[in-house]
Amino acid sequence: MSVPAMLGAPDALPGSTELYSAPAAAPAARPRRWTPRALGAAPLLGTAIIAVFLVSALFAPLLAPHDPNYQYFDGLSLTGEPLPPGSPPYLLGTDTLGRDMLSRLMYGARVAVFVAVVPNALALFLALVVGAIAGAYGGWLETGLMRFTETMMVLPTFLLALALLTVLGPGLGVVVGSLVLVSWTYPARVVYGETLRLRETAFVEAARALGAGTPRIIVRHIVPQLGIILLIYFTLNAATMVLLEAGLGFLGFGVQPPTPSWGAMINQGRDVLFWPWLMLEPGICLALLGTGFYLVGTGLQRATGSRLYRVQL
Amino acid sequence: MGRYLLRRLGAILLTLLVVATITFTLTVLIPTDPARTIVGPKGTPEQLALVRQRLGLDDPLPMQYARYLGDVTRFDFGYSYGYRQEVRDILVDRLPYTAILAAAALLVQFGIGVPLGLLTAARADGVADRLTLVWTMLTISLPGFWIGLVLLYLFAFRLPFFPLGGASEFRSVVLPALALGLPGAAWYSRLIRDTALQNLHSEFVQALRARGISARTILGKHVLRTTISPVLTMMAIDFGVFLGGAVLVESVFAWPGLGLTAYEAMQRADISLLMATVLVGSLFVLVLNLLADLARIWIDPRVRLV
Amino acid sequence: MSASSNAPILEVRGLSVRFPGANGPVTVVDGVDLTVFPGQRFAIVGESGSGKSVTLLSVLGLIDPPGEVRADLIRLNGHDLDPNDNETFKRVRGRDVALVMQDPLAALSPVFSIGDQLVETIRAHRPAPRRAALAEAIELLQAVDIPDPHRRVRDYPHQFSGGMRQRVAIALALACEPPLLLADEPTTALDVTISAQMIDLMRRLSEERGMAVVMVSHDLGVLAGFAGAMAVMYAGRVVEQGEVDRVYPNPAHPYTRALLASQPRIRESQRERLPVIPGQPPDPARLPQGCSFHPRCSLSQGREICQQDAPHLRHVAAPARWAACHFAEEQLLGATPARAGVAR
Repeated sequence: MSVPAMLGAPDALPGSTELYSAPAAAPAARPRRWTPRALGAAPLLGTAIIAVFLVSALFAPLLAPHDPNYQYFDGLSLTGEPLPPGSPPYLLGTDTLGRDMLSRLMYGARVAVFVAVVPNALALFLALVVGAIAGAYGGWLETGLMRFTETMMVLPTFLLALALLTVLGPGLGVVVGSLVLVSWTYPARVVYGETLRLRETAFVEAARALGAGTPRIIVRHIVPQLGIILLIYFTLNAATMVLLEAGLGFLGFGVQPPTPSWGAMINQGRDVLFWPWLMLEPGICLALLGTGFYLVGTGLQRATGSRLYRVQL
Repeated sequence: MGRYLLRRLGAILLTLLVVATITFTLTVLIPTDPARTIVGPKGTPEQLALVRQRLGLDDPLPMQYARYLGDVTRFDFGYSYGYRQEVRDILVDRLPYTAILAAAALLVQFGIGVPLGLLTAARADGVADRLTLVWTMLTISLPGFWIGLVLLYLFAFRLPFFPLGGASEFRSVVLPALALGLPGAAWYSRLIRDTALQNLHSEFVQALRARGISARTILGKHVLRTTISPVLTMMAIDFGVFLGGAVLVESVFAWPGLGLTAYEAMQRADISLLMATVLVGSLFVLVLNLLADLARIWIDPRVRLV
Repeated sequence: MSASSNAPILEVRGLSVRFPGANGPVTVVDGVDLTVFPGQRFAIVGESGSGKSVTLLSVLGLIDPPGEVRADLIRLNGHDLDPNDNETFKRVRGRDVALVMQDPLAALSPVFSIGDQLVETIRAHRPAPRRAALAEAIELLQAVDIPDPHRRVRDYPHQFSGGMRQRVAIALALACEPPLLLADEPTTALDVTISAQMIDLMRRLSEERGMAVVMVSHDLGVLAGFAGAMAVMYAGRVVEQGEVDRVYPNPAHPYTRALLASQPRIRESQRERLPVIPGQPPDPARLPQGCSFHPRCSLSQGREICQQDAPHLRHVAAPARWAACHFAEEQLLGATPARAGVAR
């Protein structure tokens, strides 16, 4: 189970202090433009990886070589065993029911991509609302919201989500809700920290002097500035979402069949380790997609921060 | 300090109250009738009515709620028909295993994460740094349970170094601890690397170097201290995540802890057990969180008592 | 005052430091030469951005990538230092040369007592048992005039006032009796009376221990009564160098003259406006062609050579005086009144 990804240095955390004075980093060259050269190889590679899975997800019916749910007669060996990878026409082998792994993986990308986008966006929206309101309004609203957020952050929300799923059943809505529940708190705190920082800037003061009310300031001034952070978070959180859903699928509470999901596929392979490809292949897909998102996210982080060079001790 | 502790304990109680309310609400929302489950499909209406009365299912909701809270406070979580045991007893049996697993996983996490983080900070942009970066990215992208399965496959199935699950020997904890701790180790190694590297650029480290203090002392004594603080802050979130991960890892390795309990409860729709697990898990996490905060304050007296 | 001239304690030739910039590398220090003799007190003055701090840190090898340091020679107390080899610097740091920084709070760890930090420094260079090291630490505190050192050695940095902390920083620097002390704007963070005490302390320590001191400052007040020799830096280059007694009353470079004239002093008549140097120090990424000072220089008077040829540091008038100006002699001969080179 992965730990939620983190953005940059933890200075923004309440209660943490910098023991020593601000770093005297050498002036680094910041990319002024979003040229591919300036960003570096990592985000490009990541985007390419994501693109592959995106295409697979969108065009699975066209691209998949076989029906992902059909149990092919020749998908099993003479002794009834699944075929290993490299047994044409099932390029990545078959599972215990004779279904083509490659096609299943490609369809599984649909779940992964959906999960990477929709609950992710919802969670970030919630984080934005909570964090920005807390940061902009201050007072008891700020205290209340942030205490609530911090408490939620500490609790084992995954367990809570499992309880929800058990009682309410693993419908799509509940699954999405659970994913949002587990992941909204950390970005909320980051948004809060950034809002506090932005609150003190000159243009917000100017807007206030011109008589703009707080909601207007939030929407028109603060939110656009948060854009890049939210984008970075979106990419980092996408990986987490995919992993979370895989976890739910592994427990049997994710997106339900007949849609194949990578997590459920791993679950199907767990008891038959002597046919390791059954659980290895979906895992590799998870790793690749996750790495793709991380490459983009950390690449963006590096591009927007100042690079820290090595110090010769 | 006394006031701080009181405030924190109050917050914990309040949080548990909220969690208990949620679990109670969920219990009420179950579509199936618990009385029917107990009595079975062949039960007569009279038996049903009797069981309902016994369980207090006909009482008004607020009264059920109050009763629930009262029970929970006394650690009476009801009876599990699936296990034929008091839920409390089940949890008492299982909780220590999760504690052991969590401790072992923390050991993996920091035993690998901290030295690796400091090393890659000291030799930033070098070979070790780049390799670690790749390894980190891959490991964070992998679910812990899958890492567990792969470890099981390689080191228990193919090469019988470790048992195929269960908690029969000391060795049994190794693979699950690795599965639970490796993603965190990768993540912390990056966090520590970034924090430490920032620190290495500070004027303070410049002053240390100017005085001729050795690299080992700078890293091991001074930089380590600074990086511990944000690490402890992050650890607070970690415990909750660990518990979630434990559900998955324990189910892979059949490790008899709280996580496996939750998993089994889910499979059997054993609601009282599941809810109790959520409550006890929350308590566990909140207490650990408080301890971590106290440790942080002890290490760095300048941390504000927020 | 200049002390005995044996071999110089510090020799720097051709020091250049570059950093990457948005549009290519920026030269922050350009061909600086320094010679400091044992026991000599040397001041480097200049505005912010003149490259004086970078020069100092380069001597210690503390300029990290992406900064690039090049030098024809850096020799410190007989050791040859190579900017490309960190190991050469590690041998001398703390032992042959020590550093006092601008912000004492930044140089001290808040979580250890100052005694611990002193002991740590002492034991980093010599294998001394704790007790002996602690005794030395107390002696060091005494040497920097910290009252009640036996008790204060157990205190933490936040329990000291700013001036006291700077003294502790000096004590740390003295821990291994280095023959050369580098001080990077040690008085900037302190108020005036404490600054004066600090300067006195450093002069006394320098005299007592025969320790050479190179002090970087933008405050010309430190020159008088402290330094024997001085160098003035502008836009990464040394523009004037010589003994303080000679340069101070009669600067050879228009920039030095302007700097001195713009120092607030208690004058008899308060009616005159404080003279200022027009314009701003140049952006190191875009230095003017020719002499980097010429756009702000009133000695130049638009003469072409100033706009085309960057003047080199050369002897003017006396054997131990240098200036980088085409018309330094005009300045010295008093062809222009003492307040020339300065706008009203």
